[in-house]
Amino acid sequence: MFIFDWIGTKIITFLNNFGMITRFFLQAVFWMFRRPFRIKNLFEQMVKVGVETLPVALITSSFTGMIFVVQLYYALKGFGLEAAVSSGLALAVIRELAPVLAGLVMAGRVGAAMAAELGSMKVTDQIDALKTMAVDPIHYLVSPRIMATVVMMTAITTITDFMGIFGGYVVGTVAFDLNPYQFYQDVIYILEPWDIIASMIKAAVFGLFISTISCYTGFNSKGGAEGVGEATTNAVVTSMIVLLIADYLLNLILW
Amino acid sequence: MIEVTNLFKKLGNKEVLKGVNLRIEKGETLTIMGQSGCGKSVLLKHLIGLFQPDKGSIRIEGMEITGIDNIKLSEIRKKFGVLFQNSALFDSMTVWENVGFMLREHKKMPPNKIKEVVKDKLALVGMKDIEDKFPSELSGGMQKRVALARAISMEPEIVLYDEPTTGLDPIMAEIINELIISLSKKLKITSVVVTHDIRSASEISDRIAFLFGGAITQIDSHDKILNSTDPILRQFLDGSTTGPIQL
Repeated sequence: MFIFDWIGTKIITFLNNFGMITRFFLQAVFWMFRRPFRIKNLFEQMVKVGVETLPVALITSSFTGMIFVVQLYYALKGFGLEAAVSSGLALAVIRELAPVLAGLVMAGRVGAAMAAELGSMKVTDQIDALKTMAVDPIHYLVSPRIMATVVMMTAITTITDFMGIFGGYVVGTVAFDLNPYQFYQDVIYILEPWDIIASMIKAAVFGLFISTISCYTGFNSKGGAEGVGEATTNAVVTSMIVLLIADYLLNLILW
Repeated sequence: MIEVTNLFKKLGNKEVLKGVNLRIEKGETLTIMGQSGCGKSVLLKHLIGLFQPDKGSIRIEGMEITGIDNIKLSEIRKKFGVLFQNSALFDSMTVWENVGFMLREHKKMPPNKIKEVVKDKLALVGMKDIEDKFPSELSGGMQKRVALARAISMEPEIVLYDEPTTGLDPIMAEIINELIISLSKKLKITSVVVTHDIRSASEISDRIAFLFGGAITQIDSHDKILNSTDPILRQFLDGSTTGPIQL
């Protein structure tokens, strides 16, 4: 009976958390369309999210593109298919690597920062202080963060799409003597506008999940510095897991 | 006037408030005293709607605030100022942004006018030339005073003080006590203070309420409370480890 108790408790806890986080998200969406519009907060968050994520995302995607070409080149060379390296790279980067890597970087840096900042505000009564000053904390703190993360995640993924392919292009043409013109033509040939759009849709959904989970975890942190640390870890781990599950489901839906 | 009737609240498995009845008259300073963890701050948070009771009623100027929607509650909250135990200043904002926060949010005032009001409020709590500092650059006592300036920025009708002198040295505690008294007189506000600092309570209060076992067991003028012969209250006031209070 013990095992059934345990499973039952886990299911109830999961459903409870799922319900709470959905409600939290819907409240944030509701406040996005209510006055006063938090334009200043939105731009502050966009700068923060962009500055924190872009450099790491660029390095990660360009090096991944480079490494990917090295591995792909040796794998395909045995079959005499070196020319397919550029097409394989383009599809892998745009459809999978760029949005997922940008998402993981975003979860690690921005998600952690959001959970820690809001968690610290929670345990020092700053969120209660906002309420007592007749300002809804979800309106003031959460809605701008979610909007900023969705917008910046989409923008950053578009740049990392390009940088991932560019990194692969440099290695392919310099180290493996692939024809630069042919490389470029193959990339253009294999990619369709929908690939770029779907990559941006993926990025936006990842941004939405990361910011909502991180803000929710921060808002619900308890018990001082230890609680804030725990909330930060939970935010990053949960965001990454949800991101990977969402990635799989989005792949099924979008392509 | 604030009227609390038969208030019950359970947190986790612990029943914190078990039928609190309290009436706070307009313009008076009432201090709620009691042991650590007896539910003083929980009661205070109910008065501004940060907690919803399991049962009971809270009326502010005749208006019931339990179970009302957030928009109505926000309107009522504009009548309040709150001084939190740890000041709760926004650490990403400067002093002037903190003190002017409510004015920016709720009054359509130009920034230079807000700065003037902020200066006036800071002067009321004896602070000047710190407008551009961040809370982390201020001492604990200075943070409390800035938080007090923020609490009175909208000229509230009611100010709630949660442990206003906790963690301060005796001189700074005295400064805060004097500020509470002078602000109550100057601004004619209703003050509700939660503290276990007996000296502070005796100085600032018109009346003192003693919260014990989840209910207000004694409420009277500070002279009568401080000279009470009730064994429970006596043990608390004397700080004795022996007596009817189970430790």
